[in-house]
Amino acid sequence: MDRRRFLELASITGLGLAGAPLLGRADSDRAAPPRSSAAPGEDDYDGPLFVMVQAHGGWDATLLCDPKANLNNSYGEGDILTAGNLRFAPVGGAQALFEAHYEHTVFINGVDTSTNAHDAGQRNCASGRLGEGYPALAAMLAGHGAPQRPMSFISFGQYDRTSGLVAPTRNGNDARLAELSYPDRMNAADAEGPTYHTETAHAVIRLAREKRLERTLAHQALPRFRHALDTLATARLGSDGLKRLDEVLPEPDANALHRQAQLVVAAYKARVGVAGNLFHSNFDTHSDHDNQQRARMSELLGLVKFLWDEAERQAVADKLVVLICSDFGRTPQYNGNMGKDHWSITSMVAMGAGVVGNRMVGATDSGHNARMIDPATGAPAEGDVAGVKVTPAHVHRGMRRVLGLAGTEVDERFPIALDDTFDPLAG
Amino acid sequence: MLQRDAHARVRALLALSLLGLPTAACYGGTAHSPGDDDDPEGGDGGDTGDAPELDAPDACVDIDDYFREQVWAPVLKQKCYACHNPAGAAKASDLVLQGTDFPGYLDVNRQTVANLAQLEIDDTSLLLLKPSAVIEHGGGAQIEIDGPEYAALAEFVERSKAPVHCVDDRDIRAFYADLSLLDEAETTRKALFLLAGRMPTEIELAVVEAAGFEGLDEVLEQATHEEAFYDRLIEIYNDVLHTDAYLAGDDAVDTVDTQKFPNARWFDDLPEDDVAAARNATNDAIAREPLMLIDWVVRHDEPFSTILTANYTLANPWSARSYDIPMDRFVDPTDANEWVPIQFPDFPHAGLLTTSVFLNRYPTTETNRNRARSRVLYKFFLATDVLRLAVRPIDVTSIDDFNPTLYNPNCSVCHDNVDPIAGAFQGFDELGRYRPSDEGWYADMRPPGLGDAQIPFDQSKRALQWLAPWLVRDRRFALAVVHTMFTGLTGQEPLTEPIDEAAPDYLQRIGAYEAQDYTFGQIADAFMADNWELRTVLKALVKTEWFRARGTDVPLSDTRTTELQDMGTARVLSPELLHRRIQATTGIPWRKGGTSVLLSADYYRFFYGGIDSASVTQRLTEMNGVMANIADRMANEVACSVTAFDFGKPVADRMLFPLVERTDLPGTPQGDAAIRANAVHLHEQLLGESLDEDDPEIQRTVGLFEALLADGHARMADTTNGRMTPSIAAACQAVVHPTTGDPLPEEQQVTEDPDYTVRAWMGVVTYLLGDYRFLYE
Repeated sequence: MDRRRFLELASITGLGLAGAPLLGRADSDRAAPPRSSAAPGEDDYDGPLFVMVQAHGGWDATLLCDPKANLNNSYGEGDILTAGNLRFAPVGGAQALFEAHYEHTVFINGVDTSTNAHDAGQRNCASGRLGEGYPALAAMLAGHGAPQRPMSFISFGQYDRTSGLVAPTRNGNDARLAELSYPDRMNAADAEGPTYHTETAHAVIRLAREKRLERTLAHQALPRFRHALDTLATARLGSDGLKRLDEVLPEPDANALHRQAQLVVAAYKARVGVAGNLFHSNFDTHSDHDNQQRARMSELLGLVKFLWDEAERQAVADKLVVLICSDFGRTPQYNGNMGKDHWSITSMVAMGAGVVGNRMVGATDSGHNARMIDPATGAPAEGDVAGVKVTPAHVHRGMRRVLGLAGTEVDERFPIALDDTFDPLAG
Repeated sequence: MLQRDAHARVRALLALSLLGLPTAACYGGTAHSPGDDDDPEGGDGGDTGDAPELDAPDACVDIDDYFREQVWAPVLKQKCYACHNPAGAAKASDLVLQGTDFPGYLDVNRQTVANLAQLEIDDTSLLLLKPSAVIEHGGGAQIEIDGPEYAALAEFVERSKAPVHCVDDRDIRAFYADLSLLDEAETTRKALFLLAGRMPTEIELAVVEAAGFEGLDEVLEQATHEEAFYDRLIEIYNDVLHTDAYLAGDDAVDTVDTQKFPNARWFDDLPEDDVAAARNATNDAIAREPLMLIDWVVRHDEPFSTILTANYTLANPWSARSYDIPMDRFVDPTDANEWVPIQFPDFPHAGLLTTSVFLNRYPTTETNRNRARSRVLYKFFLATDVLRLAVRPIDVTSIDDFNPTLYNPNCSVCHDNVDPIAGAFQGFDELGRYRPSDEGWYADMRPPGLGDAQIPFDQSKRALQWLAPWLVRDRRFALAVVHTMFTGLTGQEPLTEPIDEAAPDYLQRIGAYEAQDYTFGQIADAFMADNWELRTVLKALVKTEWFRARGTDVPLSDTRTTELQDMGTARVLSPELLHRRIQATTGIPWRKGGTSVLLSADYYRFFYGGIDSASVTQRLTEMNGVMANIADRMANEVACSVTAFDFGKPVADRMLFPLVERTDLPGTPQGDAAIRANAVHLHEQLLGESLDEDDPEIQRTVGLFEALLADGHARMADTTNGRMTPSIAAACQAVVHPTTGDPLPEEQQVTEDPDYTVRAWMGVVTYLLGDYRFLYE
């Protein structure tokens, strides 16, 4: 609420004199500018809805988008499926998903994560950097696009570092969102019922808080305090928007994984969210690999299919961009427990608006070792071509372009250092 | 180039250290008086122009600083480390250097290099002869005799003959120089709340005022023997161990070895109506074993190291039945709070490490061979994240060795550390059951142990128990405890050493890391010297700048801002802490229908960033829009519940309004004075800030009260739109006790508000409960 609006309110209710000390004192302070000038519900973000889907534990890319019958006991060469130009392993749900979406899907194979460690792999997958310090891509988009939205970045777990760009939101009991949408009502469901304070009282309390926060911020130099104050101000700026979420959130799906997708899509639809991290666990199949990994992979693909279907239903599919990845890959050979251990070569899958799809780029050899890639074609380098090794950084650089982050302040703040220009998401 | 960069870093560090501070004196070298080389011009830490060189005649150069800046970074790390590391080609040589992930690696490496420097051939140190290939060197010539690296090593050889250690910690002091800190009373208030969940009493504040931080030690000594502290301790350690994941259902009971304890599920034989309660009590007891051991050790003033070395576990009457412990061990066989130490027959207890829930929370597989358990032991109890070792890029195509975890550097970089402790867990199978083998441990792994301590074969069946005393004597154990308590108090992870020396903020980040590491190391040393007394850690931590920083005395340069990036506690309170703060400051909890909403998963626990220790293990530390709305609802509901209730109490019992009455209105000297005085009290009571009556924030709060009052008066007088009634809304009336629901005595009931003061003060309380200082710590 600005000064003019307050004075209007004050004059209506006879608060002019009584309220003056609030404004007089605050106006004399050295106020810091707010983080965002967007009023609640009035932000102009109309960019992508980005969803990161992570397979926790390290998936077997040869059971998905880099099929190799010679390295698997569960299928033969003739069982490998196709959709458009995409080839993939015969795992439940794959055919349905890729037949529907192959035109905006690219498989990036032979991705070298350079690690066998879960935490580092998850970080690399989500941020495009092996080392620490970079935000998850979803947090990056949310922080750049509309950090003031109350659920700008919804995280269900995994690597969700934000580097201070945006405050992450966790899911709780969805049934409580309604009462949280109307914190001033004594009975949240009763729009006509009593509130704790009069409308004017709520307004002046809010104004007093804002002014006190501004004054505190203006007198505080330590970065941690400033960030916390700034985050609180930003959170309050968008908190009114939750009311819109209540209007578009569907009945919860019976499948808990699918409910993740429902919330992220509904939050975007309601203009309270921008991006989200979804994940499915138990991919760390050191034993009984075929049964366990195939089951998890099928559930993961079911989640992605549901995500697209839900986006269609909410009429935001044209905005949806998805990146699917995992900590790393699994070893080419089975161990003594018919499991597969950690392997730093893996694949990533990108889908959605802006992705030049119906393509497979990058490659591995028959032993699932990464091959050097011709940056001009994305195919294995031949002859005198100086090939490049595909890394998560390449995929993230491409994703940043697709998401409109390339060249922005956050892109420059967290630069991706590569010596080549290979973009696996471009045609 | 590297040499020049190193010089630049050193100059910058020195410039920073000289920022208006006296120069250190030295021992082992030439001492000089403090103040001799003060830099009167000051300047910021990034200005390297006029700073003295390291070898300036009047500068004290610590041998550690010299080694780090002149030897390690530009020479050893660049030229030697690739081979001379624990897994490298020169791992069998006399020069084996540790990497940055090894806690205290610089100290270890300096000593290693100093030892080598003493070995000479024809009066020339091997440290010079080898890398210059004057004598045989497997890596050939790495440096030139007339080059800067050789000169740096030669100087180190000389310096190590008479090592100089500067007397004080001037760089560290300089790092903290321009911070403003909480005073003793404010520190007491913050520490007491975070450790005991309450506000200080007047007597405690008087003690601190009279005796300063010594008084605070006394106050904390008492407070850390209160029940609330032990609850907090369990909470802090569950945030590390996450064993509360087993509180659900009968999950903990399922971890018990039923071959050894066939009556584990004793409750199944009870009458049907009694099963659920007995099962829940039994399950809770078994789930809480590791955390209760921590509680027990601190409660009984045993060395904290006992959490890993105890040759016993704990049981209460409920879990005792599962373990076939006679009931005559207990005074009250139904008291879940009565715990006793017990020993299982033929079982090598090693504190919490051998509890069934710990072993199941961190399971293993046949191929994992206890490595996961080793990893968490390192992380929780040795302040070492071994996964950071694997952050270094690896080349998968190079892994074609036989047994790569033993022989390939890409793998052995982790496994050299992980495998020995993994071997100590031998005897405990995938389900956490004790199943020792007569055949010993895997021959294709590093031998079980820790560092130089190898577990003798004849101790294999009690390997972990044998190793535990070695673990706790490792300084990293003490450091891990300091880290855990720091995170528990502040919500912040300890800083990690930056790896990327080329990063533009490397110098600032390494400065912050070293300052914190030094401070925490001092506390760890004091902790060990005090026989692992946990309270020593707590008393020291709350006095550090990392706990007390609240601002700065001067505007910050960009460089300094980067250095102080992680300074100061500014986390949003966890749901548990916010719950306690509401209770501690207002006297009532935030509940709905008897449920504490911030603690309930059915209400707001997860939305507000809480954990379940199973699928959600990381707390949110930043406020988001949903949390902001929870805070708003809390402020509204709690203000509604407490305002009239507090006014109804006798003045002496009031927590919020002891200095004002409902009849005090602005416009009279008495009314104005009472309103202003109570505003001061509310700021102190709810926000912990001591302000003068003429402070701008008190003016703001009084102004708010007057604005709310004027709004109410206007509405009560408004005949056009319907007058506001003098009655308080039913939900906010003081009719029943907000906590118990019992009817209030008639004289304490408040239902009418003819002057609108109750509702105006309710607005003020709402304002303050939603304040940054209430929601954050």
